[in-house]
Amino acid sequence: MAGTAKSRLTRRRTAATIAGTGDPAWVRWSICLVSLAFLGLFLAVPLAAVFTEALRKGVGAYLESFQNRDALAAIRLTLLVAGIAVPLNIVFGLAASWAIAKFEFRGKSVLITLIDLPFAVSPVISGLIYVLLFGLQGWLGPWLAAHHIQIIFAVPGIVLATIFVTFPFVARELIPLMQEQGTEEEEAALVLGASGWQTFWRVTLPNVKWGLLYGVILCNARAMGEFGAVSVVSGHLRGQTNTMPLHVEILYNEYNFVAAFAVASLLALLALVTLVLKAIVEWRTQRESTELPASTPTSLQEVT
Amino acid sequence: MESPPSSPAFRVGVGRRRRSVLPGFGLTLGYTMLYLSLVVLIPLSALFFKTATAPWEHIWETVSSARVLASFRLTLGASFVAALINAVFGLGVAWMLVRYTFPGRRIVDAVVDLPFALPTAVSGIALTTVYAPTGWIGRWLESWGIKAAFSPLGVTIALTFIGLPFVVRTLQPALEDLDPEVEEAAASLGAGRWQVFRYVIVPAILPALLTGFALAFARALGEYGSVVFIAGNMPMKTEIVPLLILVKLEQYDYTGATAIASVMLALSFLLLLSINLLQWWSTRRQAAG
Amino acid sequence: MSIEVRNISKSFGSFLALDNVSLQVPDGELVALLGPSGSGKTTLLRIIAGLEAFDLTDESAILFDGRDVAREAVGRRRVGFVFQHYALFRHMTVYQNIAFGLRVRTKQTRPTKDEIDRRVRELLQLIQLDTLANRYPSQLSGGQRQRVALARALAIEPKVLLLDEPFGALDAKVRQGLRRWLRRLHDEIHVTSVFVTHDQEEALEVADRIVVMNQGRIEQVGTPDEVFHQPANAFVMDFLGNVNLFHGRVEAGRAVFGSLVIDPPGGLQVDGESARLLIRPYDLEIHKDNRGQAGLPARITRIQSAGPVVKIELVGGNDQPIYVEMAHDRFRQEPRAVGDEVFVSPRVSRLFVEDRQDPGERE
Repeated sequence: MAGTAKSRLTRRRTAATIAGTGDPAWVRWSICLVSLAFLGLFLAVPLAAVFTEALRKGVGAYLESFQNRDALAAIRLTLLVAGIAVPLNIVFGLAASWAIAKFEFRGKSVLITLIDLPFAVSPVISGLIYVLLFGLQGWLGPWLAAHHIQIIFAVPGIVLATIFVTFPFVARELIPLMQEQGTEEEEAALVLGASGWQTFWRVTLPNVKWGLLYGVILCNARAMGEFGAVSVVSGHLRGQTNTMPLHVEILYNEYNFVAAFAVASLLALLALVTLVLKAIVEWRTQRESTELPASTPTSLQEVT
Repeated sequence: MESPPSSPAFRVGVGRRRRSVLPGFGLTLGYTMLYLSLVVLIPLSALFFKTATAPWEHIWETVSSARVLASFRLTLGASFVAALINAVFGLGVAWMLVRYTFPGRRIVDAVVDLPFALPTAVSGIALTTVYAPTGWIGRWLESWGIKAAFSPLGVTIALTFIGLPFVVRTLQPALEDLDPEVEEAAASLGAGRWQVFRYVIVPAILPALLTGFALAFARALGEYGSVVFIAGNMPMKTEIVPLLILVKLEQYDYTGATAIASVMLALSFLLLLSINLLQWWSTRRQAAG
Repeated sequence: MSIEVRNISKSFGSFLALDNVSLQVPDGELVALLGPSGSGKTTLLRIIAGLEAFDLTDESAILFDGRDVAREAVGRRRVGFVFQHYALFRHMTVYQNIAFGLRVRTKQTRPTKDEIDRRVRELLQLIQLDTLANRYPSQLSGGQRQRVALARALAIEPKVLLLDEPFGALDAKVRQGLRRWLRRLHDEIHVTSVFVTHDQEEALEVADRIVVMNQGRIEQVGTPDEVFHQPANAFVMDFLGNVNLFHGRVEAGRAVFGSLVIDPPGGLQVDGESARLLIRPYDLEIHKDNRGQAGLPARITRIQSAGPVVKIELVGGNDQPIYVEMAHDRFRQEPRAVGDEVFVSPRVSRLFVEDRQDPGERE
């Protein structure tokens, strides 16, 4: 597919010069200048600001920000939350995409819409629903309180809210990919005597590995960076229920800008790593789909 | 799958669904439904249950209060303007990325996703710092008498930031799918470049542009993290709806928070529905063409 | 190993894909399932493999060497299946693809590493791709992929080999070569094989026996000669090559097609029924005059003499198009020109009354 796109592009360029369907130079230049200026103002400048502000008082002050016990606790909690939420959503994504992509059943499109639902819900509402469910005034609140189980304003609530907001990432990457690949390879494996698990591990999973990785990267980035939903259920206890984004907020509101931007710079680095990984994965999948059959056609002599 | 050969239940199953030899359907679908119910459906239904059981007057009182109405006006207005800005500039960015080759194109292409990848709290404080009266851009705007941060303009800036990738990423495949032969055909029939754009390209990418606009708008409506810092959060002036939900919660006004949230959610679902309709429309149009 | 299919039906919703089909494939034969698309041939093949469920009844069964395998899982039937689009594992090399079926066996039944290697190398030689063992499927041509798919199916030493449109996705020239190669391969290894095709030429050339299918039913089973020269009904005759079709009526024991009258020995006992006459283009003769025979008047509209035979298009009464093929030397003896008014008469024809072939061939 990417192959035809590429040949199309070259064709377009040569055709454009002949047929005069290309944009005139001044149009090209103005579109590029305006677009790049827009991207610069809205994306590049704020990103640069994060690192500039973090290093405003020198590398020493920057590094000192991480000596703080609360900062370390926030980093640990963020890793813990992502460590729970991401694997759970991977398992779900694999199960959901297997059921949806490899089988026909009624209500499939409704199910796909429901899986996408958390994307349509404001992060603040994502937190709110768990407060309504597990909070003191919520459905299960009194029972939980009687049994001394705390979910809201504690780590379990943060984990739940994070699972909710990152719920669709893996599944929505895998479903179209697996649908596109069909079931023939799995059938071939089964005919050859492979068991269901062997078919899944040796045939299905290797075929979707890049899509899976892509979904996991996005899921992880959101899990570590989620702010609104976590903010509602966290209770903001320093050193206990503060994730990195919440810690950034507290430091910023205390006018401790260097420390706030220092922690923020870690999250920004995570975002940059995410973008790089994403670009690599995209490039790999594109390359794999571009690989054309070798140009040695089967001649009659070869066969006979 | 071994089943009793001629039990009637089995026969019904065959008739309803095309049975596949691949294993694991029951297990995976069962797990999917269970997990979906526990994580998404039951918690979301808690919101609707809470709304349905709350005293109607209290809900009405909350939603129709001046402060809430002002916040809805701000959120809807700023989201709309931000989505509009993104539709215009996003089209430029997508056009540039698809049609032109220039050094660093891959990097620019990757950077478009920054608002997806950057935690909202980080973008919030970064945007505030840049657009504050003392910031790099804010200082310059201030000299023109424009107050960016801590004003509705600041809210719009943050919402523009957050919505940009939606428009670009929806438009890119639509622009790539345009068949150059159609443009060549139009040119061979004597259409000028602007006419080709107006009568050939725009109609073809319009569904994608509208979808991108709607997605950016929907995302902006619910956005919290990147906005709260730059907004300034002055009641009646720069309070966005999600913030108001949080304020109500902090005042232990659960019913009030729920009431506002329900209205928001209804708006979001309405948008989701229109996006699905848009996509259905565009695929049908493609199938017909 | 012999295959027997007994009373198999298959419905997709209200659509009946297979309608009570029964079939026997003797051990070691190469059988073609031939039919137009939608005739149920691929469904039948997939049911034999175990890839598709069928409507279970008490009479239905699938027997391999007399043993019912209908309830046996697909992986345990030991069938080699070659998919229409090959279904090669795209992330595995040619070598890994062929070795897959052996490597996934349980510890007790899995051959040793050396044994697997030996078997894969043998198969690579058989398909003449030993130099491409480390290529990925995407780096192979269509014909090469086809042979890898075949080798992968053969690696598990199947008792039955099933091929779904094995040459469907290849271009014409590669097809020809692979066709003969498959025939020779079958003569070497003699595994009972069934392949699906919609190409009558392919079926006639490769198969020992042809099963002609239409709308979920088997129309005829026979050797290529039988189905070609003694078609059981109009559908089979039409499907296996070009025919001229004439519609007529039975009158006083004779079938009447305009001025052409067929008077079968013994006569027809179904006066008033509609009748159909099917004539192959090369079984029609063109005469300058009627010579007292029952010929059909026609006018030549086009002559195409480039090619192995001369193709002549004519128009008969009621604007009926008629196609005639004749050898070049015959054409040179009696040259014709466009616009000539002539008479055509059949040397051999088949008469079908009410879909029933009545008296059979008429010379």
